[in-house]
Amino acid sequence: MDNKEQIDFSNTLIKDLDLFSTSQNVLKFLKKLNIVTLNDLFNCEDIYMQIIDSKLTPRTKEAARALIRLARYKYLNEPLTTDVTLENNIIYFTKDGIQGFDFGAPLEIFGFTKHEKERFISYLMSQKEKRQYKEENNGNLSFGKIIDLFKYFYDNRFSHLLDNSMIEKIELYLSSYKENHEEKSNLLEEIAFFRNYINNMKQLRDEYNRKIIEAEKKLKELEQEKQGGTK
Amino acid sequence: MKDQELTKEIKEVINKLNKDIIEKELLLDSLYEKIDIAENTNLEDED
Repeated sequence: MDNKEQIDFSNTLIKDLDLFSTSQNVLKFLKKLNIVTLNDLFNCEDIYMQIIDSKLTPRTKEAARALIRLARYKYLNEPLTTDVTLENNIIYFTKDGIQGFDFGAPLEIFGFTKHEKERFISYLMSQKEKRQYKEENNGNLSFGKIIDLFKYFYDNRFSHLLDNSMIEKIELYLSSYKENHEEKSNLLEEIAFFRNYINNMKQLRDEYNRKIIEAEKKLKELEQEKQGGTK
Repeated sequence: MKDQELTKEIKEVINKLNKDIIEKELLLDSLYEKIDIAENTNLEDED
């Protein structure tokens, strides 16, 4: 704690921080628990249990946990525990075969610079992932590209929704590119990575579609039940 | 040049998928919240 910067965060309103779409859910969730300032965030002892017990999507829960851990790291200089790894959904997550960069957002929320982000990612990466991705020297998918990619998501988060025809188009394009560029092995590895990444995202989207249908059905049943009870 | 085009297209796809997923996630959270409220209301009605 020697080099801890003297930041007065006690009255900093969480809502005033630059939040992203997924994090809006986190903000809403924290507000329900009467956590509105950073100070509240640090003083809420049972917040982790409340998050676990809450009815939110797993990713929102992960984002909430990430937000707290990162806030404590940034403002209290608390060391990150070893369980905060990329596999645990902070920045690049791999869970049940689903991958994503979604929780880079908390880094930006707390004003991490590019250099800090790189250092942070390096810290969080497992040795396996480092071997897999930190291969700047031989031209494979590089750190810089990963950072640029997830930064890009949030810089362009208001773009149009993707439709199936667009997915098919890109897949065809990738297949065609592969056929015509067999010699570019490094690039092919990148393409394979992104293809896998895109497929995983599609799976996640389909899973959400299924859950939305289930939730709408459940809600309808509850409404009918209520109407039946009030008659 | 071809690489740049490819990178651009990949980013577009991933970005749009990501946006789509986040929107669905927001909808799902909102539905879960409504279910929570409806369940509580129904329980209160029973009381």
